[in-house]
Amino acid sequence: MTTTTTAARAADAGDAPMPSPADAPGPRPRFTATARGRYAVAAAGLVLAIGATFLLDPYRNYLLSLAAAYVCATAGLTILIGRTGQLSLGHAAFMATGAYGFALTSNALAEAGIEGPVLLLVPFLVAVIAATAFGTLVGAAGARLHGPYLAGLTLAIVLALPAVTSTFSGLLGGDQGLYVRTERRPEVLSAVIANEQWQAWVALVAAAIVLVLLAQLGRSPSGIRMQAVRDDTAAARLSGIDPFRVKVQAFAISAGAAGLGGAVLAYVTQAASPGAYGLSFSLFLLVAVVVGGTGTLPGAVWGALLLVLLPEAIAAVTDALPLPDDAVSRLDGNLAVLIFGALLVVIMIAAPRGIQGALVALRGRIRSRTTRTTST
Amino acid sequence: MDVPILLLAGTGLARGAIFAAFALALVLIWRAARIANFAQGAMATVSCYVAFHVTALTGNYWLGLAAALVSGAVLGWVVERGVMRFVDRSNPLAAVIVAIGLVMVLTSTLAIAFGADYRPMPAPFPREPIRIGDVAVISPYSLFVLAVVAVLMLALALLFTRTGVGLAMRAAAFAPEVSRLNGVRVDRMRTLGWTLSAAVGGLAALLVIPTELGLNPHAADLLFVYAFTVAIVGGLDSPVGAVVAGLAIGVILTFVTAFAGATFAPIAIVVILLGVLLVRPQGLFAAREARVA
Amino acid sequence: MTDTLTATARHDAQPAALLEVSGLVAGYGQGEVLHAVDLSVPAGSVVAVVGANGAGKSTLLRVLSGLLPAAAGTVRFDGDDLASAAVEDRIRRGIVHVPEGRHAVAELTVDENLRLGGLWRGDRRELRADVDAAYDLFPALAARRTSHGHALSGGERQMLAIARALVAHPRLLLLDEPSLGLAPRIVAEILGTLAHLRAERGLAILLVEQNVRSALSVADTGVVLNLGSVVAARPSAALLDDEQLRHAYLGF
Repeated sequence: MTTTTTAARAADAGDAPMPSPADAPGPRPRFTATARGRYAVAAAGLVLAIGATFLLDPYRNYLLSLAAAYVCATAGLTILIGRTGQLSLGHAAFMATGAYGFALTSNALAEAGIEGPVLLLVPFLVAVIAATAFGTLVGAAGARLHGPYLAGLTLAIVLALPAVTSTFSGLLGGDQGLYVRTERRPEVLSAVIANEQWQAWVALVAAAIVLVLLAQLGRSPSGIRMQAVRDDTAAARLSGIDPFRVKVQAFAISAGAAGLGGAVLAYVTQAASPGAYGLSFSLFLLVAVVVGGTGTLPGAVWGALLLVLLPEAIAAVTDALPLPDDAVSRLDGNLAVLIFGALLVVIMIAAPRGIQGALVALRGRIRSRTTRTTST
Repeated sequence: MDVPILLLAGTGLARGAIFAAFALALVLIWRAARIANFAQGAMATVSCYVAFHVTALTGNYWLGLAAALVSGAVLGWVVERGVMRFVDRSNPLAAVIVAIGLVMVLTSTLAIAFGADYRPMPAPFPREPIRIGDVAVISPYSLFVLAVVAVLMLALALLFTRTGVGLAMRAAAFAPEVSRLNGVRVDRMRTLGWTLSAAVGGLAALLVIPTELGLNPHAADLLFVYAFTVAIVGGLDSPVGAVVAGLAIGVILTFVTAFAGATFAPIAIVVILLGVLLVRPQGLFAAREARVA
Repeated sequence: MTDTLTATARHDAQPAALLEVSGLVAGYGQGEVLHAVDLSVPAGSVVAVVGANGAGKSTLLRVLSGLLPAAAGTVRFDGDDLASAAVEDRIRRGIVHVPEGRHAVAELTVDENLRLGGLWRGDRRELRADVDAAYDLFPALAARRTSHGHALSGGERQMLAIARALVAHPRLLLLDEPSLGLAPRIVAEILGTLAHLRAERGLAILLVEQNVRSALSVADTGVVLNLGSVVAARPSAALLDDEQLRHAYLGF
């Protein structure tokens, strides 16, 4: 995409620092280009965010968990769209794969009487593996396809999800979905923090892992190969890159990240159901990526926060207005879709670099102003 | 179980004809503007709501059908002139993403205005099959659908092969700069392509809704996916491919529905898509460079 | 044909040039290709623009046909300033551009390609007559009327491009490299046809050519373009006689 091309080129030129992991809470220090520096920034950000959970009430910690789960998916999606030019409308389906993978594993382990770290970690691992495998399959089918065709394929997949869950309702629980038995907070913490806060920690750690790994990927030879394939497939092929492999790889990684996001949602909400991963939600992920700033990891964070906060704000407004119940029920959900859709159109046409692009431009302006004042 | 093969085949063909018409609408915009119109399902649903209300007010199905065509055309014009024209053409994904935004705006507006309930859509002819002896053959409504789509195809074929406007539209689609140098107003042809396509899409959706659950803001979501599958199998550049693939997929899905239940149809579509793409990525018809990166 | 327009437009005026370009500046992005170009093409004359590769010849034609916007300067055609008119409108005024590269639309048949040239007039019967007249001028095309553009040879495509331009009833034809890559026999055939048209219809031609000798042999006036500026504009014969100029800019 041109927009992301320019954004990415600007990033390479150095005036837009490469998205670094720990952008979620608060401002971050000037970025250092070493891997160790990035880990340090990520760790600092994570500590800050975990500290913030102590200031939030359980409901807000729950919202924070949702945002962290969304970050996993939007970060994966923004890399896919921005780095390889592959448009997926079906990332909710990969989240669902992760959620169901988590749910089935967690329930099976709990059934077998297993507890502790195994019950906490193994389901996450299985979720990521399942989503990555499914992503590899879809990526292989779609890797030779142009944007619109791949978008159509992924759209079909997300629309088929309810059919899958009701066809295999014995295993997947049909429209109702599954209740998930999960490992709760460790005994030692139960006196100190609420379970919501613990869940937020788990979610934040997951999001931090995804962001660090994807930032590393962006700097690695694989990331450069992805960009080469997006910018000029023919030229990439001539320099010995196999575009098919690179695209499938990107799709698998992106799906794995979304799968982890789905697993976090399953862990936090203790449920996995088809209704939670419908078409609207899948399109919301795209909105988050575009509005945040396609191809940038900080943008994925802004977008995920928007996904959580905007519906909350809308609900607050519609609740406050003196509307008849009928109107409220019609506005419920739909008004958010309307606003997100309008945002998507307007941003794509008027400000295709999104929030992160605007922030980078703003910072550049401030910096040039300060240098000007110091020099005069 | 005694399988009414003949009835299923006829119903399947009628369904396939609708898919073909809807896929043809996608082909029209693709050829006119190189845009895969992901908003086509939502736009067609808006047309169907117009038709539904016109029919409800006048008690006349045919006025509703005319209203679907007209409102589709108007909506196509508005979307092209008001939105798509301003999309960055150098970015191949931009138009798709903007179209997705339109889907969200249109479906949520419909849901806010009319609610999410399914409304039964009247059919102008009975959907019970005609019987010859003991054998159920085909329903009058299926015959009606086949006739409408046949007339539509014929009209489009004539438009594109026999008229100056059709020639100008084809030329503008294949070679925009050469066409401009020959005095063809390419941007008007593009608008016309959108107008025509949206009218065809509205008509196709109007035909399919009586055979589905009813009218709902998301009534055309699956129709869009089926038609898009048709386009992948047949090629977005190929009207003939759209018709052949449309009929084939209509029949396949009808048999799948009869034997495995209606919920299985979307899975069958994904399986067909994955299968075609993994085994023959160039599609079942001639190799189409357009969709390969 | 175009006579109504001409008749009403300038029955009393001096025999001014059909095309009068002055101070024309244009380029791509930041790069300026044409620097204040002046040029005039009298009605019914053939003007050849010659010069080395990269002199800006094709850019000049693109600006004149409206494909590329002018950054400054005026383009007066038949007395009216067309500098900001769109391509499609200039064709309706009588400026028709045949770009380099023989742009036959590959997916259309020869007959459809030819009809494309005159679609904008919206008169089916007249269009049919014009297309038939084009077949008379280029009999090689008549034999291939149902072939698709992609099946044509290079010479046939060039003929098709010129024939299609003629169907548009041009008063000024902008021809870019009509002889490039063609056999001399075909070049001669095409140039002969153009000379005939000029005599018969009063068609003016602005010709861009690498092949300087053959261009100047058919042109009344030669304009030498070098690095985006006009360095000489003289009668063709005078230009061919100016050994110094030839050596400096034309390489023979």
